[in-house]
Amino acid sequence: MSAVILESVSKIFRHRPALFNWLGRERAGETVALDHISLEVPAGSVLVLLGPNGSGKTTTLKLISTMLLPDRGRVVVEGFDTTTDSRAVRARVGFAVAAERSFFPRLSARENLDFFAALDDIPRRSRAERVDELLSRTGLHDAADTLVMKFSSGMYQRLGIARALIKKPTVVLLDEPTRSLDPGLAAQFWNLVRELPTQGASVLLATHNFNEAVAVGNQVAVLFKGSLAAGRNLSGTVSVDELRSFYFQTTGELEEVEPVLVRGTR
Amino acid sequence: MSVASLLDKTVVIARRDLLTAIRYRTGFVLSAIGALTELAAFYYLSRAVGPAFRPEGLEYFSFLLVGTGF
Repeated sequence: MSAVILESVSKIFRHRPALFNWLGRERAGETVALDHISLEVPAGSVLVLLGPNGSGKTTTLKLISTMLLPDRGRVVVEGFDTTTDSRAVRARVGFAVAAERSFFPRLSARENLDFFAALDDIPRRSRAERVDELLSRTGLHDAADTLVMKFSSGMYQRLGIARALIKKPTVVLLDEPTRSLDPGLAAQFWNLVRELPTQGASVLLATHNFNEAVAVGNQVAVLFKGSLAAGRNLSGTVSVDELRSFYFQTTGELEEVEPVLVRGTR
Repeated sequence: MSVASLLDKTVVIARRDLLTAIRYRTGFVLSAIGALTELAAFYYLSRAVGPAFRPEGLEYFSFLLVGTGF
């Protein structure tokens, strides 16, 4: 049983020149963000998306969350098509967004989560308890009543994760979730991600961090220039170095990186 | 969407807006002072115009309040 299925999905961003293109330097064109990607996320597992910047990781997550719709192919989440059943899909998907503008700066963390819980139809009687639980799980309990305008980027990151989990989604999308976290908090977060499948959730996690991929992933998919370059299982025996080699061999970036690594080891 | 859910969402949105407005302290205080000043100006203007002037059959003060408030 697959929680998420992408069937030959393509996404193309078309751009037009600005209205006042005096110098005529801008040209209309298109960027192929995803090119016939087919991917499955088994239910109750963690699939890690690896790939360089611009490879299509975030676009993939946005397509699953219904923030974007595919130009070709289809995306199915727990049996619901994102194009025709977007409401049902949104009820099942939690997307961790950590940008500061995703929250109300003059509300506290607790008030922000309470607000989003109400929008996600969490009943009023269980809302406070749910908010408290998530503040504890994400290590924000001590800052629960602090206005989020005073938060660090790492705290925003954790609040974004709490927001994604508040409706108990069965599919969790995480876009570079530990980007701003220190190593201790990142390790704490990886424990949280590993718990999610035991609670019935499936996870898609986009990252550049090989340690993170090995720590939480059951499978990895490498995206490169909008295409699915490779995929493999991440059993307990795969080391970070092995994954790193696999990644660079897949993307062909090794030649460019090697001199830097050699210089660094002297 | 049920009525209860709609009502709940309306309440949290209003609460969010109220909390945000209150916490921009200077702006909130200035808005309150501005509103009170305007109210006083309308009151004294209606006193100056006198009770004989009743546009649309209303007292002038009420007319000004409704006209600018809604």
